[in-house]
Amino acid sequence: MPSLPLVQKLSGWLYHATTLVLAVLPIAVLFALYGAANRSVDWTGLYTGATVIGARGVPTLILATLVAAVPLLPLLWVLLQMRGLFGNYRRGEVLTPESALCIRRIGLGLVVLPLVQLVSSTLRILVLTWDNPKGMRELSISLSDDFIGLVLVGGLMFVIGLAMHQAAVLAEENRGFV
Amino acid sequence: MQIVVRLDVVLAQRKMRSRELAERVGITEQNISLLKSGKVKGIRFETLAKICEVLECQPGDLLEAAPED
Repeated sequence: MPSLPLVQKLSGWLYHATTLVLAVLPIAVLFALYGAANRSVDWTGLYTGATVIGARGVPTLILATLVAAVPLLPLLWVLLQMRGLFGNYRRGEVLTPESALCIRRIGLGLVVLPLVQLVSSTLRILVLTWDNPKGMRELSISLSDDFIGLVLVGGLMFVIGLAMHQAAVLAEENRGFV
Repeated sequence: MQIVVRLDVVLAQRKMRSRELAERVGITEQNISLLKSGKVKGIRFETLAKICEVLECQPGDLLEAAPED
């Protein structure tokens, strides 16, 4: 495989980058979400459109933060699979069933992620507006082109993972020949 | 029916070591060992031709079809 050294080199960098993101992302996201819920630091603009009447107590803010953080779980799972894949590639284990499985899992995660984001966003706004006067609670469901894009890319990755599994089986067969 | 590899016999007849054969054929010594023990799924024609050239033999000298044990 002529391009293997390049694959290994790039995968090495990406492995370390993914490891760093995995370490930093959960803390950064939780901090940003709590700040956005509190409106003291609205960095993300996540609550645009949600009309929160009156102050919210800390339990409500914590609940809203936790609900908003749920999409972090499939995202972290995808990042873990990516780290695993880059780890395999930097060791030169390219056409293997294990690498193909990582690709399929990344695809699955990318399909699940926007669905979880959709539900989380809806529940988050409901939690924040629950204490609004009657008739002013909000239930919002929003679809974006990001949603469709992620689902399509996830589906693509999943199918590529299936194809790579076939390639891995053939490569294994080929390795048995001298 | 199974294919039995007689490479070890021909190597002994030619008084050649596996390492030398591996170097001259262009495959690893590990693959030569696997081939000798029959623990390979197959052999490429290219590899077989090179082995026959180095050992000055025919494929039939290296491979034998025998009933399964």
